[in-house]
Amino acid sequence: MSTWILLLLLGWQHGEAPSLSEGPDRGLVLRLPGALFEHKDVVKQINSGLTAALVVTVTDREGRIGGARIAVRYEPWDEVYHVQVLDMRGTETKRVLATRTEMADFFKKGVLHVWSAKHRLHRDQPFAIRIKVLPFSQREQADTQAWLTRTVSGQRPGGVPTMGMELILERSIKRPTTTQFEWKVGLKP
Amino acid sequence: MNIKLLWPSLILMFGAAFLTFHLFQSQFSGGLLNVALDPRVREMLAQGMDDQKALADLDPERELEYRSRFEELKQFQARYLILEHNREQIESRFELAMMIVLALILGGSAAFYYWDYATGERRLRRLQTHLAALAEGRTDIVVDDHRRDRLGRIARMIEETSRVIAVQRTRLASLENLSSWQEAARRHAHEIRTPLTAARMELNQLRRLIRDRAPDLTVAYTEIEESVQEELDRLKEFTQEFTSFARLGQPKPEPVDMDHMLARFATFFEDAWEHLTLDFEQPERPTPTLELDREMVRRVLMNLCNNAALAMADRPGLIRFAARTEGSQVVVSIRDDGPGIDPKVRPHLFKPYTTTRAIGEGMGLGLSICKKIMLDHGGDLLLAHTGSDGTEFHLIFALPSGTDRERPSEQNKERAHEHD
Repeated sequence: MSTWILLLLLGWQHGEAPSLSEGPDRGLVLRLPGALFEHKDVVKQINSGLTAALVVTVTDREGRIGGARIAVRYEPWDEVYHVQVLDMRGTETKRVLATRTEMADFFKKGVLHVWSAKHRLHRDQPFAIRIKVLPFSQREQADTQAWLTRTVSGQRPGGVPTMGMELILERSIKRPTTTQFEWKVGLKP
Repeated sequence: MNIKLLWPSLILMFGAAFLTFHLFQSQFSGGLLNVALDPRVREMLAQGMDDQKALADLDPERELEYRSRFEELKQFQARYLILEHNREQIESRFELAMMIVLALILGGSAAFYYWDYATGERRLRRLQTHLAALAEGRTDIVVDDHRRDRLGRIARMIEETSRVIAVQRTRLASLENLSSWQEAARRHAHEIRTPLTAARMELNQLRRLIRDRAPDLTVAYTEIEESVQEELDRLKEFTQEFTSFARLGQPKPEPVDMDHMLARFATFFEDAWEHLTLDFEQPERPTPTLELDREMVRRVLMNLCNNAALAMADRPGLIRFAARTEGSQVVVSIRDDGPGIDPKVRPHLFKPYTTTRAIGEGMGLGLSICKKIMLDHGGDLLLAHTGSDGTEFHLIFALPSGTDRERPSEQNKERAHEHD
């Protein structure tokens, strides 16, 4: 619990907040602050070589939720970042970026459509923005679970875990949130 | 188990189990995880990846090969990183699983202890009830506890004791009955012998008077005297039978090889009864040595053979002897192929003065004497079977205490070798 409080404080104390503005299709567009990509844990996760995910949720005072999902994977051979964005419009955007600075610039451009036009907007009310950093993807999680099971039990690939200990180890592989940021921002004109 | 000891022992067991678990967790599983997730492994993987990349720069022709190795290392590094992310999760899951297993084992053990204790208590209460019944003198106790543990053995001992008491009571009753008959026989013999002696003396006196005072009556008198003497002799024989029953002594036991004794009896007396054939079946396992009065037991055998011979009259017959060990006793069977015993006589066969013969041909004391001899040996004489196919008597002998029921005596072993 204390870790969460610390993380929340970190989020609140973060100098630069994301900005939320109305998009061309009456949805909301989120611009992420460049400082987010300089945060120690974010840097660590997006440089790990695993597919780190930034799960963005936007909640209004009535509890309606919007959001987007950013997956970043650093490719150490080519030394580039593979970025994939899924937003509320249902579109998938893929980019290959050379540096974190390029990544920060990309997300400042207003590519994240986080609010559906179907939702009625209360322009005078603040929105809660939350970004959770997940260190790896579901596919990588499944791959590691399978590998661990095979390694512990000495099974061939595709085998089914039979022993209790293998199951325990396999089920222990979860995707923990390493960092979480929270802001309350109003809608920019 | 005492309930006062049950709880401390359970607490001790739980404590020891948790301590062992904690030590195992901290020293063993935690240590293994530290070894598995050593940070230097990650560093070396990163170094390996860098090396592959550098090699590809130096040797571009083999780039595909280096790239393949690079990807392999990268995949391993990814898995390694994911494991690092889940270290706490793995540890806590492992602990939880171990705790559940431990709780199940301890819970199961506690439940088993309690069940065992409760069952033991119930069985003890049942044994207590049966012991009380035994103390009251009941001889029909069935405990119905067939387990092989201590309580089960005690239960069987109670049942066995009850059975032994029942047998001893029957024997005692028979002995008391026979003893009172013996006393009666002794008194009858005495009462008869006194006037018998007086009558003989009077007869002698009368003979002298006739000779002195009426010699012409001597011839007639002599005929009458001989007739009276004959009757007095019969009366004397009759009294001697009484005396024989009344003065039956206690057996003088000595070690006897029963198989040998029966074999010799069958051989020595094979011509004693004109129409009878005696046969002894040598047992597969030699009979243990018994403590008995050889002469008295021989008298029993003679008596039984005599009865069989009389029952078969002039018809040829066969008498078979056999011996076998049954638990704590030896059973000697004597079986004839005669017409069987009259059903009217069977219920009081061993009571004195029970006979099927004509008056004057026997007192009916033979089987009573045999029964008394066997009871005095701590055994018994039983009618095992009677019918138109023959009659079988059992002589029961108790095995001497300390006899190895599984092993034959030295003498018997020697004989067994001889038979081999």
